[in-house]
Amino acid sequence: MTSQLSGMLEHFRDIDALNLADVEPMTQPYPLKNVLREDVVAPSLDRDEVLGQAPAAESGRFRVPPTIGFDV
Amino acid sequence: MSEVSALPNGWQLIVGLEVHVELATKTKMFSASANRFGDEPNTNIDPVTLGLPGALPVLNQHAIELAMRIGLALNCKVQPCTFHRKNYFYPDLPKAYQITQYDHPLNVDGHLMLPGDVRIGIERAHLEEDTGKSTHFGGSSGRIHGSDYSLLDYNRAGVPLVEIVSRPDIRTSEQARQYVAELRSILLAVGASDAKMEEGSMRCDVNVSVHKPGTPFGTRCEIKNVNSIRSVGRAIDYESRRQVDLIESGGTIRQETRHWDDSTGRTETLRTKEDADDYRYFLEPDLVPLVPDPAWIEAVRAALPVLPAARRKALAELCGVDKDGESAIVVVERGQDDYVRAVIAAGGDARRAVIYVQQAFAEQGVTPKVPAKDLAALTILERDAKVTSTQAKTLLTDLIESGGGDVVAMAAKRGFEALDTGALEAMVDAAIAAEPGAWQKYCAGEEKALGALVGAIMKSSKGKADGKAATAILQSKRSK
Amino acid sequence: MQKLAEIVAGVSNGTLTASAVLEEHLKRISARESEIHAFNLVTADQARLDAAKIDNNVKSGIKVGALAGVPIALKDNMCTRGVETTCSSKILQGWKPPYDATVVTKLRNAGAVIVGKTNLDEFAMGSSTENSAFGPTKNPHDIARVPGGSSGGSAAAVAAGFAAASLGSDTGGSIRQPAALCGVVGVKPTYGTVSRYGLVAFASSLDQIGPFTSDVRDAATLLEVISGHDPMDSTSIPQSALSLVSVLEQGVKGMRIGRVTDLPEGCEPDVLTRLEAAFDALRNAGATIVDVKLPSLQYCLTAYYLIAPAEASSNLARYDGVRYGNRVDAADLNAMYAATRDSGFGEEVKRRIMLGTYALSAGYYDAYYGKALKVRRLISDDFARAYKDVDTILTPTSPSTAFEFGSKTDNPLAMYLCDVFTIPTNLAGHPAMSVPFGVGADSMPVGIQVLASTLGEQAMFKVAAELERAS
Repeated sequence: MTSQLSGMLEHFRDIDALNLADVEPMTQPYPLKNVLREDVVAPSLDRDEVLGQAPAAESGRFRVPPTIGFDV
Repeated sequence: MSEVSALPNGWQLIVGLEVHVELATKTKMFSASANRFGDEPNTNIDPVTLGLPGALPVLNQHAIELAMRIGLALNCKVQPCTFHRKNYFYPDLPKAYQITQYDHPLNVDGHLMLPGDVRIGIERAHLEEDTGKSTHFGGSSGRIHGSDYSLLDYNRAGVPLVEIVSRPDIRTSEQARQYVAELRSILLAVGASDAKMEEGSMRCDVNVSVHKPGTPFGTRCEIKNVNSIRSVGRAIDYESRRQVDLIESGGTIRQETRHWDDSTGRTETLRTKEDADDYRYFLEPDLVPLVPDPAWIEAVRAALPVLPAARRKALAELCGVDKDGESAIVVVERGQDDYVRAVIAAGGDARRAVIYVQQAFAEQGVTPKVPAKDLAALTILERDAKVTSTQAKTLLTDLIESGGGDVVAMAAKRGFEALDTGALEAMVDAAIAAEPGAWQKYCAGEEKALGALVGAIMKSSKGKADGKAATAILQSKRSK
Repeated sequence: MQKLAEIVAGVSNGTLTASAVLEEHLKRISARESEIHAFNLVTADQARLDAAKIDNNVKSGIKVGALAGVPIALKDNMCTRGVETTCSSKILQGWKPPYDATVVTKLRNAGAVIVGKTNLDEFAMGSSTENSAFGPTKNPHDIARVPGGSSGGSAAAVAAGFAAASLGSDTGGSIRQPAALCGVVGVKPTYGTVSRYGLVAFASSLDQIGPFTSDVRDAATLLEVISGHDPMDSTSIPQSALSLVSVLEQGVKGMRIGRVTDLPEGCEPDVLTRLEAAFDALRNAGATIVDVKLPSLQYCLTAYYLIAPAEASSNLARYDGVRYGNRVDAADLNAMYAATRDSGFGEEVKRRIMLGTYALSAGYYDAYYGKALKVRRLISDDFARAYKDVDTILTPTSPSTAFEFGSKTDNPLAMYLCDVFTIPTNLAGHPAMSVPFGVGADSMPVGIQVLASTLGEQAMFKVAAELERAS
């Protein structure tokens, strides 16, 4: 896997040939702005349906192993 | 700005605060689930909140409105902005990234004034979403390490947040506490948040470093889990001493995040910079730029209420008190300054009005039951020496208990009348004659002897004498 | 195979029943699905209930929708409430979404009958459907060959007559390339015309949903139903549904059609021959062929294989075994994450996540992801210049006809080259479609790609319709 990845990254250096100093990055395919939503409540998903699909659940919540070596 | 620091050996404290505020919207930042504290776990959830496959975010218009109110109230510039993804793994982060603002935040370059005209810069106040809540079970300390499992509630996930980042302009723990208190009162005044630290709708992270003036700022540590205004002060005091002691004993400060433990009064290492994630920030492709219309910004600015600092200043000027003093702060905080104005408009003595309200109206709320004209009348009675200040205090209590009334009649009913000066002089002479020993001691400089003399006056006048006035007469007689 | 218009007309006026139409398709599924493996899940029982409901509505005089009775298959990366949605990945095996994708709601409201969820390359990453965790799909024209990818199952389902139409998703060519290889019509519309709400994200700024059909008219019909603004998708263009069927007979007289003179190399000669034939046909129909240059085309593969994996690495981080999907238990959280993702994801998905994470990481952002976004601007500008002179552009869809299983799996870069003609459109956010146009030297289908500028679907469909008439 690693050799395939480094091979790809080598290939991708072809863009180094381009002079991109004055080029604006393109982040949006279609120029939209100000897409907003009214502050109106919609019903929640059903908790049982959702927790029924969870790998582990208890007392209405999702259960996970302890966060040893992990911090808040 | 040059407050003397409480640190020894010329060390100076540098503090910056990052305050996260939950906005008082009906729905979440990016989806229409309810934004409500205290509901049953996982009952305000939707595909976006849970980070389900296929879910997409849509910005809450009212959250933007409230965020602009905060920015404008903090004198920020409101500008076109974008959203970024901050990527890291944690179970309370449902998408494994937080949508936040990075290089183009909504509000920048503001400031907040503290008492004494101390100016604290605000670098930015940007929008982001809150995480879910994880509760840990098992393990003896109830803290993270060594617990058996965690349970996750996503009701809070997606709640709109504004993160307010100060510049490192704070120099004392007192200033830090004032900053948080003032910020809180501004948030309440503009209706952006209920800012309850005890419920987590306002959370403070404190950045502390120390240095000697003239040298570069020291390495800073970030302190988390500071859950009250008092803790802000205590944590800073502890951490700054810890850093000074460490440096003076030859150690170096490691840049790290520390956890404040309120019960032990100490900070402890949480994680070091080397462990910090690379968040791989990139522009959020599921959202589009937010370019607030100048007309919208102006409308928000125009609709802002008079802010607490301006209200304190106006009240102080009106009443002849210090704008940073206790009465101005307390009365405005309670929202009772308009009431004081009403008392003054009804002919009341301004200075007495604000002091009475500060001292006795803690339970009264924004619209006190005592009619303004009644309180005004009481201030006039005291001003005109028709009652003593002690008597006035009693009448004040009566007024509050009965919810108002004719103070002149109430004073008469109690048999209150202040003695005029002539009668008081006569009583003083009589007391001197009755207590010659005490008088001699007092003239010799024994201040304690005053008590016996004043006591005699109060007794013979059946409490009608004004103790302060009697003391003044005794003092002037002694100095003759 | 019946066309959509016939089915809808017949069902609406009672000369056909949705149930009978469905049974015909289910029979074909029974006959060949075990050989083709187009589906992860055939939802026959529910489909029969849905078809019966439509027939009842017709009998009761209740108005039925624009797709009444049409059996449709959905790529298994579109959320269907209560129906397993796996993205052909072990990590989501068994997962039933609690909500429907917007396109699914639109299809149901239009009276379509969903027959099943189709196979794909895992999480839509691939060009052959060989990356599916549940086994590949075979090309109905030759089962020793791939159907293309990533929407191989949806393409095969239409080619084999299992469904009258299907939906796929296209990020770098994942609708168009399998359409070409399977000899069906496949459309990627302008980015933002079809809602992505409920489409499991691969690369958010590139993904679009689109139709597979047996002819151009059906594609126009289906696209009219699924397009239009969706308030649940912030990138959705604020306009109503596309209007396409009405322009199909207009022909191409006076239209200007671009021939790219600096097309990347590597195209098979028989494919190029069909491209020339396509230009001839359009010329004969009254169009003018104009040479255009797209100098940045050669850098598109690199830009795409930096942008798409970068966005994917972030989009796929949510598969952590916490809230849904399959979890591999472990003593602590970090170990659980690692074990879950290691066993749940296939090799190609892991490869792209690693690539994407690297491209975004501190110190490398400017060299890789940052630069790729600039190349994206270059190709967008190249197209803008070209579209000043032409209405549409024609290229081959795929450099070759369908290749044999296993022929490209050892060399990921070789596989990526399958998308060299389709990727530029996704980068620019433009529409493009593949129209079957004859066969190659090996008698396998060849597809011709028609490209247009942003919201240029009408021009694109006019040319496609003409090509179809001439094919």
